[in-house]
Amino acid sequence: MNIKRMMLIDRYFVGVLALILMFGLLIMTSASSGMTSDPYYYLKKQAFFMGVGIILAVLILYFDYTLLQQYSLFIYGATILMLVLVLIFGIEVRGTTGWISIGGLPPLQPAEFTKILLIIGFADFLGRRKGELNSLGQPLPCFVYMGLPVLLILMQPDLGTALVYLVITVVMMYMAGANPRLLGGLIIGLLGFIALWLFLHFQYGVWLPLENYQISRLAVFIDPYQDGKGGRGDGWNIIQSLIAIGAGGLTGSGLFNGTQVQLNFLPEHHTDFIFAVIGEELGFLGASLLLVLYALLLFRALIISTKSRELYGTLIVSGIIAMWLFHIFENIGMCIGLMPVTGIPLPFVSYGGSNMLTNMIAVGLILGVNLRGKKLVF
Amino acid sequence: MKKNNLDRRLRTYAAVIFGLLAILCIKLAIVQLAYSDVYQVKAKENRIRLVSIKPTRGEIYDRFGETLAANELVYTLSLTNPGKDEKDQLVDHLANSLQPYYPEVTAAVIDEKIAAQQFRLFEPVVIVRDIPWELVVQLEEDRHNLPGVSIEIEPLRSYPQDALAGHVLGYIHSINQDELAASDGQYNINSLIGKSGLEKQYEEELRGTYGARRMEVDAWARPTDRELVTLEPIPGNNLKLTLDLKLQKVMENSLETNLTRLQQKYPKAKVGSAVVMDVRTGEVLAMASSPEMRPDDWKGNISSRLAAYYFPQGDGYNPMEPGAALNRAIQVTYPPGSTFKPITGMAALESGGVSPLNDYVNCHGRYWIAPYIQCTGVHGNLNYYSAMAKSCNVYFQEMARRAGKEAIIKVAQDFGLGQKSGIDLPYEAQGLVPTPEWKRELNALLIDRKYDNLRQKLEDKYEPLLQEASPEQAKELERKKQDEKARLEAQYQIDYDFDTNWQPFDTFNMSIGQGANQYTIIDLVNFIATVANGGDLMRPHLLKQILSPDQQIVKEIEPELIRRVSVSANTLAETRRAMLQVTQPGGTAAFLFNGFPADIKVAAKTGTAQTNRVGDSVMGEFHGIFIAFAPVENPQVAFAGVVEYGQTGSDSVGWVAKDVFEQYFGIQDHYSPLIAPETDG
Repeated sequence: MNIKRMMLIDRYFVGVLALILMFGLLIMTSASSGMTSDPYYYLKKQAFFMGVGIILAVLILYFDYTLLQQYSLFIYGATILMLVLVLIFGIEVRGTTGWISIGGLPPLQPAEFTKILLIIGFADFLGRRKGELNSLGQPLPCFVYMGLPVLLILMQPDLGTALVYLVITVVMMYMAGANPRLLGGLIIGLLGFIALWLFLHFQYGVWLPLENYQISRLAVFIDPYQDGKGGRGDGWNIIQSLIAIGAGGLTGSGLFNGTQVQLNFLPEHHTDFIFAVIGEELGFLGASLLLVLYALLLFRALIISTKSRELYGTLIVSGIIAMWLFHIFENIGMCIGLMPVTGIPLPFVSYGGSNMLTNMIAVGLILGVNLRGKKLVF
Repeated sequence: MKKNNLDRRLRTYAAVIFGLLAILCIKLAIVQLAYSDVYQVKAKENRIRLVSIKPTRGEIYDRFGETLAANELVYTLSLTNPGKDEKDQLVDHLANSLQPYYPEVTAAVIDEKIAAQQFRLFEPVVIVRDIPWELVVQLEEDRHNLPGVSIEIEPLRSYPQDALAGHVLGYIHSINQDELAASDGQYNINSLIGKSGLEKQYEEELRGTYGARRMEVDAWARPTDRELVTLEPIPGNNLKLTLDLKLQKVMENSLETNLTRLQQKYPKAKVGSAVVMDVRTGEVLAMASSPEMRPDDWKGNISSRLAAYYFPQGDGYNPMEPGAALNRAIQVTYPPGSTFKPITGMAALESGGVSPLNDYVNCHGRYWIAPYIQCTGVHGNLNYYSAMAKSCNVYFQEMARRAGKEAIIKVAQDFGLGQKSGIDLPYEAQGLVPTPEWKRELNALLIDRKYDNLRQKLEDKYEPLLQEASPEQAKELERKKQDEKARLEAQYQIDYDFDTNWQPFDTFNMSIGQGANQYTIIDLVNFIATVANGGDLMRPHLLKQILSPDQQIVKEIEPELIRRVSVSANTLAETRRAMLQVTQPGGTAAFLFNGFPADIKVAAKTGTAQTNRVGDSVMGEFHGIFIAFAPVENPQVAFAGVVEYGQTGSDSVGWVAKDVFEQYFGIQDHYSPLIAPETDG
């Protein structure tokens, strides 16, 4: 790779990403300050993973991603193996067996990394079936391909991450040219099936393949005060998150001044509910700024995907965009009561090493596609 | 074509991205811009707690500033923010530690107190107030086993004079749910509130205003180190009473001594009460009721022993276990007996054209009109003065006949009898002046009930007979039944007319204070004070001044005239003169006051009243009543008192009047000997 090619790098994408990362570190400073004796403990760890992630991204962008096509089968096999291993050796945290600890290293969440691996594998899988995704039977292998890892994740059980995989599958198939009516029909059918099942469960007590805490999360999504404890049980998080964001108003209370956060009314405020910290301390201005930054980031990524010289690159970037979009919508939607509560982190902002590394690998891949894409101006 | 296809898909994708982010932005705007106020309030409710700070209760003094009720600093044991996990263990351990001192405070009792306050656990849950120092030491040493248990110093009501004027002062106790619900928001679940006496009457003056500590708590209701605002509590106002501590003590002691003496002869003589009042102002100088009430007894939970002492147990009234909770001076009514005779006399003088000096009545042992009520002796010819001195039943029945019932009722009511005196104490009972209307109402009810019963019995008697009878027999039976019914109805008419109408004997009974007359002691003292002061019926009162916490006068209670009685000054003067004869040689109370100096002559009237209580002997058991005032020339103080089952007025509560007057006028110092043993010890 030469210097001239480096000049092709999408400065907007990199610039917006840098702003989001700084935004994330800034809010982490406040969100995690009162949690440990060292007020910067989480900030330092997050910054460390960010640094590692940046190095990873740079390494990846130097690597020619198209070479990965040769290893598709191996990548897929590794993915499935990791998901099986985590089920066997995983550590259970809050009802989900999603963590694995290797040697002295900090525990990791394989399901985060496998998102990227699956996107890479699936992009090749779809590329080979280009133009063969129009009939009812043709996409079937695709669903089998993605269905296996989804089932393994559901066994952890991690409903949120399984949903991410489904969204990635549908978006990538759409971008690969699958019949939109077929996809739309499938989505609507699936949603209808889930809705019917839920209805039967709540109305007639039909068995549901979910843990009690997951069912409860769905129930409190309808009304957080109906958790059997007057809003002090499973509805607590939603209620406190809404209060935090609402209390922020236009300008917010300022960093370190959000009482919902600093007095711990808002749980998980450095991880899943970090957006509520932004809402309370930085107000509508800060929260909508982050939304705009995300919009710009996804938009620039989309531009990059269009400039790819081959469908493989386009599909990888589209899959990553789908992953990020779902993470953003689900996480923020949960904080403001639009979506049920799941443990889906906010990209680049929520605390978490696995998530940060995964997202930075994704950034490396996108920039790799970017640098090997068509020139914009000459 | 294929490329366009991809472009179209990318545009759709872009639209989906912006669409979803726009949805988030819109919802965010709704939450943060439109409903921000609502959520800000909720955030504040999350973290702001108001903890009330107890004010110091106002003190109570006698008229010379001697302290009757104060506050002392005590150790109060509370639980603060008991954690969920270790709560049971903690409560059990605490209950065990308290066991030797407070066996009634079990783990269940503590749990109940915590539960009652479950939404305000950031405020200490008071477990026991005023714990002894040994327990304080023991708990402090065991501190590491009792997390959340705190011992704080707080002011608590104390009564330095012990039981002195206990009924008048009343007591305070934990507020109950009803009181809390009915209150004006000035109380919380841990509050104490006046339950009787002046503590209840002047609760709003005494209680003060709660202060508040507005503080911030975190999600676990633990206070942060930021105490936002503290509003200091305002102590309650102090009360200066009209009571004279010395006089009160002398009166209580005298009452107690005489009750003990009388019990040798009459075991039922266990209850007495007396009131001394300033006749010019209505100020109550002393008010006693025996058996005594110790306000301090109500500090904690009432033990079963104390409950039995204060409240009559079982059904019906047992004179041997009368219960000490009642203030007999205002809460119980008594037949006045002969102390009513001045009323009859005044009615005769006013309306009967009777001359007190020249109109004589001849008493030969019983009155000459039915029901021929017996007299206390054979008195011969008597005028108003000698009749009062001898308490002659014949004379006053004759006076009643001449005056007529209306005149007597009017005078009695004019002097406040049968009405609440309006004294500043709660739960005052109302007496009764019997009137024709009252009699009709009461007896019509009784007689109807009686005859309804008889009518039903008649029906019940004939019904089975009629059913079994043959037609001819039935006819015969029906005729007999109608006959019997007619006789019953005729008898009903006769009884009804007789019982519901005022009969001459009703007047005679009333004239000598028997029959249905029922008055409180405070009514009697107010009546006699009105005779003494020349006809001004004053409202009796115990409060003299309301003082601010720094002893500035907030309010001065002025004497309050209820009305001027319509009896002439001359009649009043003659009555005072007649009542003086009671204490002069030959009078029924002469033996009590014969040692008094000439310038302090006492006017009095003795009373011996049938108790009218179920189970008492009509001709053998009497309440002793006594009313008096002095000095007769320039009256200053009036007295009324009762000793239940005291048999006579003069030899029971009359002695109390004597001691009190001797103390008041400085004839003999009864007070110093009472406090002497204390100074020695």
